[in-house]
Amino acid sequence: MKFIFKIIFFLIVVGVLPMLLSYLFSLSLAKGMLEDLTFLNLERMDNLVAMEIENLMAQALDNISVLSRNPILTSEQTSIEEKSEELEKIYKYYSLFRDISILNEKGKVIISTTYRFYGRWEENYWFQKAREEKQLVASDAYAALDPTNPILAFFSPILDKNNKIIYFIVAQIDTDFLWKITDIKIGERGYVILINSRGDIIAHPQKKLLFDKISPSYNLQQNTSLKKGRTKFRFEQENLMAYFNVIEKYREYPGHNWHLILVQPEEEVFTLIRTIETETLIFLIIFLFTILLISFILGKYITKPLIKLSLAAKEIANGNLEIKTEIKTGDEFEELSKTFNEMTKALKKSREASEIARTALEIKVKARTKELEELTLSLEEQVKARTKELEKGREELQKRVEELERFHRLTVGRELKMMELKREIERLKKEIEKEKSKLKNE
Amino acid sequence: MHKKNLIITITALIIILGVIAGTFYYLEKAKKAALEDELIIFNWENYLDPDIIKEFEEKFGVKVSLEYFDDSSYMFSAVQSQPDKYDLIVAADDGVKEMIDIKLLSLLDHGKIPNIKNLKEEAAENYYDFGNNYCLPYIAGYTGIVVNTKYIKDYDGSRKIFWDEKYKGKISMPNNSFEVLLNAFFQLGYDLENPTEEQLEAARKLALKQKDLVIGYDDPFDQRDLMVSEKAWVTYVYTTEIPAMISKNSNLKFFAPKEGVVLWTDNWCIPKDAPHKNAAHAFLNYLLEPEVSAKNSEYIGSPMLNGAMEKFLDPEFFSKTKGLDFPLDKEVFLRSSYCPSFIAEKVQIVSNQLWSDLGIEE
Repeated sequence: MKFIFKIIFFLIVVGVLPMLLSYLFSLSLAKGMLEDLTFLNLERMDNLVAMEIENLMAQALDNISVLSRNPILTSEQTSIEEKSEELEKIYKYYSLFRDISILNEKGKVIISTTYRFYGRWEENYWFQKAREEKQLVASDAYAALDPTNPILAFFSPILDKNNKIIYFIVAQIDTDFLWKITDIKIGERGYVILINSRGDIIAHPQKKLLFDKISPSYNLQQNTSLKKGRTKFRFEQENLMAYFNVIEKYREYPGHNWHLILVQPEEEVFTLIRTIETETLIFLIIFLFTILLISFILGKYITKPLIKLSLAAKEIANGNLEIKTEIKTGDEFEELSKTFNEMTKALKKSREASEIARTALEIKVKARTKELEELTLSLEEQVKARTKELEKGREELQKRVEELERFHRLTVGRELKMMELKREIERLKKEIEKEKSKLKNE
Repeated sequence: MHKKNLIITITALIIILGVIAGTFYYLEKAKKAALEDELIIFNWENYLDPDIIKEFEEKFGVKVSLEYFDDSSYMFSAVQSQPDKYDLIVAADDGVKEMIDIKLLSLLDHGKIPNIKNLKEEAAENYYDFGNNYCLPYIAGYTGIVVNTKYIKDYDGSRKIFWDEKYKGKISMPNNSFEVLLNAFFQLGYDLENPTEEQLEAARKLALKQKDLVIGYDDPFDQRDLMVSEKAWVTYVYTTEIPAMISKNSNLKFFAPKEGVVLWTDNWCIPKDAPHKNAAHAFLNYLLEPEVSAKNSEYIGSPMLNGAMEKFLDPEFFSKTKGLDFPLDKEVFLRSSYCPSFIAEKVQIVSNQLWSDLGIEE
């Protein structure tokens, strides 16, 4: 790696990295703190709103309870006209109700103030519940005629002395009164969502979302069992931080497990962090460039004399001892340059001396060589004479050998003839024997 | 060389991981698409062949439970207060529109109902759910008049018979306040496209005059029994009830009221929080098999809106059901209309009041 890169690397490690690390650390610390603060704020508000909803629902139930003790409405002695008149009075007095109806024990409408929400109560789950349990039941929020306007129905059975149901009073109210409490802003963009136990939205600032499902990223089942807590989920293309509260009861009355969810978009919570993040990032980039520039200049300053020295050293390596370095930095590099020049000078001197010594040596070598050549010549002649003598001796020896060979051949010939004669004698002896025996026989 | 090996290893690893992830994804998807073992249907009585249910149960291993309603407003009230109770419901056109408006219905997954292609073209081009996003049109019809020709001779097909003193105690009206009010409305010759409050009030008053003339406001099965046993001589009844009625008493004859009729189409829908949606889709797809539709139509006596089932139908079927299906007599048809829900709300308030005034005990 080049020296200049080493310097850059060193400055980045020493200068930028610690800054980056401390920036990341403090950022996550600030983020955590902000998150915590937001959740705490949501929790505090959620608990307050949940309490208010509980109270309002309990109040509404109390009102129906009072209504169901109204002697004109509940007496079997009063006529339908009287009941109708009383109902109208109550309807006008309590602006809360959208409709009040009196049903017979089977659920058939006897009188209604508006006839708008007639319905067939016999098949209505909440009516059936009130009939079975013989007590006041509030329905879950449901859409009747207009999906942007959820309705709540309260069923109150009227019992006679024998505990037999004679009438039902059914009062229906808009959920507007709930919405008034839930229509609060949290920060700039935070808001309140109310969902029922099936995940249908029953209160939301955007009315068109009513009765749509809450997003599946809100864990309905788990949150129902947790009852309350912090959560994060994505809804309407936004990441939301939320606190939820499951409303199990309206004071002494049973509730519907509505989830009151107070949400704050993450984007809003972290706006400050995002600004800091961007600003710090810009600062870091500028800092990085400055560091790069500084280290480049510094690198250049340091490496310039080094490059000069390096070039001079290369020249020397190529045999050029005339080279001289000119460095006027007034520091160790100038010292080094001077030393270098002295070294070159010394090197030059030593080379000249060695030149002279080499010439003398060459003359000596030449004389010695001549001597040696002469010596070689005389030795060669001696060798030649000796060789001649040896040649002569060799020829004589050759002759002797040939004579010996001749003699040997003669001897061998005689031997062979002797053997042949012996065999002839043997043969003749045998023939004589044969002849002798023949003669004997004759 | 080493670099090459590394790239191959990494690529292989990515592919293997991809395959594993893909397998898990499809398994999960398949698990989701798997049929639940139960299906709860909320329907009119005798409006689905029990054999078909049995066959479906055997073929798909799904236990089907049936619950019945005898008026659509009961169904509406039940689904409204418990959208997570039923898997399949049958609702008429205006009911479907209203349920879509108040977000009570679940979107149909056409991918799970390939047989939807068998539906008649006109079934998708309706005013209440164009393109069948929420419902599957089932059977279309209207409300007509059945008279006993033994007692009522030379009947001209008019609605005024329902106010004829001669037939006091022999008239059976349906247990639907809407139908009773609209019957009076048509009798007065008003246009259903744009009813005024005065017109509706006049119709309510006219309908109230029937109170002493009728035997009762009965559900379709009681209407059938009353007519077959000749306790009632004239009735105002849904076309789907007529085949069963006239096949049991040859004196009974069907008429489309000449003042025009209220047209309706019944549809299959899946409530928003239905617990067994896959099984519901599977059932709808099964029901649209041409052979199944033909069999079911023959059982009910009215043709399902399945364009592919005709070759499986008994050739006599159409002769039996003649006059009970579209098209109506051209002139009657021109006077007829659906009752879209944007006016239904107006009609509903008056009909609710009428029902209360009539003090009907069921």
